Amino acid sequence: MTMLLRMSLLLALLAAAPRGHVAAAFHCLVLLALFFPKFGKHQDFWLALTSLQGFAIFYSWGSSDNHKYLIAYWFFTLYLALLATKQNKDLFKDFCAQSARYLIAGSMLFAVLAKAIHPEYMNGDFFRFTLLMDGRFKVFTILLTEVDKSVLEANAAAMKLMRDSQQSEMLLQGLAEVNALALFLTWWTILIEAIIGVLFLWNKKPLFSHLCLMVFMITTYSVATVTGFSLVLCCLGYAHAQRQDLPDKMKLFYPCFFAFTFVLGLSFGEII
Amino acid sequence: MTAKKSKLSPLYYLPVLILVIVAVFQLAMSNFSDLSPWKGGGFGMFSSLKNPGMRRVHVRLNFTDGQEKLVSSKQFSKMAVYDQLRSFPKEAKLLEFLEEIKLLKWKHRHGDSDEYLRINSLGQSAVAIEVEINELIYEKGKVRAEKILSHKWRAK
Repeated sequence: MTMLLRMSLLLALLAAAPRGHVAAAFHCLVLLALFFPKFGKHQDFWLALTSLQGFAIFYSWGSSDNHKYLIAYWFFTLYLALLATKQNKDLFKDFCAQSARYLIAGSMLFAVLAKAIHPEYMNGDFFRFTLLMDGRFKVFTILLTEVDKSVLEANAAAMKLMRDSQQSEMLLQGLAEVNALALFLTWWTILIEAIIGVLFLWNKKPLFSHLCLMVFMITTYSVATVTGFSLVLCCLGYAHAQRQDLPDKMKLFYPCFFAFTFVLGLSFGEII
Repeated sequence: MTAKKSKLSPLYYLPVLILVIVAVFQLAMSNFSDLSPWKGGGFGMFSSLKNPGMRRVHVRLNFTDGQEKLVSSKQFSKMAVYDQLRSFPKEAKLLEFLEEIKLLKWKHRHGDSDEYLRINSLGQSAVAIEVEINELIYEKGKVRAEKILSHKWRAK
């Protein structure tokens, strides 16, 4: 079984499975494919996983995270690739590389569009609020700004009170201290996503495209620990990288980061 | 790309075509309706504060002995319909949520505590339920609550 299929199976096991009965079917199928690799190389297996993922998304439509959709598109790609290339390994890799390229570009460009149309993102309010209120950013905020831990705790307590009571208004503390970092993050995030989207669509500078994607993954998932998104980007990045003229060690970044994601997934915010 | 492109089936466009259709639909729903940009396949996470965590769901219960209690949202956190309601607050989903709450039974956590716990079989049912959903809006250093939906129910 190729590295790409192994990564995709682990993606299905670790990040895709929804709750309840669908999860049981998911785990059963994936474990069978891990024990009997021939099973995981058949297109019908990936069609089954795509259907289960699609069902889970449809069942909880409106509350499914965006990366669950990207995972479903990736499973669908594997199904189509196995179906259309009739087990020809080179064609299979090319098919996956092309599809992965468009999925990376599509997800990044829509992320840019969503940011560009929200005034609270573009004026920096989103990151001002997030740096002060999102527990995942706690360490980051304390290390890079002059905001004290007690200010973050006071904000969190005020928000908890507001959520649990009829209180209609609260004031946020520490805004002036996080302003510069919030503006930097606002423009950094939208710019790097735009660059990645355009580079993967253009597809002429694979080395630069992958370097940008790697920088994005390292900087983003060290702070905003969205394990599922990180894992699916590793699969997509590797699928594309393996058909590019890149150093082999660079291609191995993706499986290594796939494993390392779980260390990043620890909430360092709770340690401080 | 080292591929022999002429042999490659154009089917590889299909997944991204679906991605574009779903994302355009999600963008429309999140901009012209109340769907959270964080959910639904539009890749709008980390773009807006209109996320489920910024939707406050308050449930107020009345009991036969005349007591009225505001129940903590953590009592509902494992209900799928609660997640859906916060991601996409709609009247139909609110009624579905209300129907599930009607089936729950409640008891005091302990002595003087104001906190009510949901339990399975023992405890008392509510005779009146009021659900209110507020959007928590951040503007100019302040967070304020704005009512989106509410519904009252009373047992006959």
